[in-house]
Amino acid sequence: MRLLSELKLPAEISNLRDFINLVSKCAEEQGVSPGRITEIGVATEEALVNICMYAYQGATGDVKVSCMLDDENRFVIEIEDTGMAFDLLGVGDPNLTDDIAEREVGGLGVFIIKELMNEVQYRREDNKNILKLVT
Amino acid sequence: MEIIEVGKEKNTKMISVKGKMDAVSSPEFENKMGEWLAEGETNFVIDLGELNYISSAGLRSILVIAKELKSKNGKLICAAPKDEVKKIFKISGFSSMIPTYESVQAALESI
Repeated sequence: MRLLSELKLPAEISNLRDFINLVSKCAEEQGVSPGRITEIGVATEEALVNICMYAYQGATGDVKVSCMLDDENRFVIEIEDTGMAFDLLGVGDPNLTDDIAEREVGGLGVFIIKELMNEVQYRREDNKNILKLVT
Repeated sequence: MEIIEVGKEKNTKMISVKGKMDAVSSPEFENKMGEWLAEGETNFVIDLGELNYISSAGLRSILVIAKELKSKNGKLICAAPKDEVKKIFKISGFSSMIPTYESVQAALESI
């Protein structure tokens, strides 16, 4: 695993675009196509928004985003927080066929991450949630 | 994100949403649409031709407004999404839930 770039900031929505800009710039430097960079940005946003909203339960805390290349030269984003344990791979898929009136508001973020990324891994280590998005 | 009033045709408010609909900007969309709803507008065509990015936060805002419009017998139609946006609409099931057309013209003709 080779670290390309990383950024640690308070887990707040106001910092979201700084993280996405970092990931986008890094992906661009690795020659990732513009369309794919947008998808990587969306997946990263979904993971970060979950952390900003739920990880620290009203308290404050940091989130660290690292861009890396793995041993197979795949672009990888690792997102780390020290909030409450949360394995997003355990979240069930939303109902996508309800009509407007019945459709539940929200609950799409995790599903979108799984659909857009080639591989999603989660581990809990040293009281940290570590989410790995492989593109 | 930029929200532009384009005009009114067939009793439908034509607007254009440009840039990014993410967790930062989407509340702004909801607020602006809320204002137009409060003014009595119930039918909208939203031109997405210059929207480059949408996340679940953007989808959420669109759904909240679509629900409100439906309860008022109104309608929200999307038009001309770019490939990036189209893919997110497809993944999330929005393309079969929210009427979406390839062009603003086609959206207008559907009314």
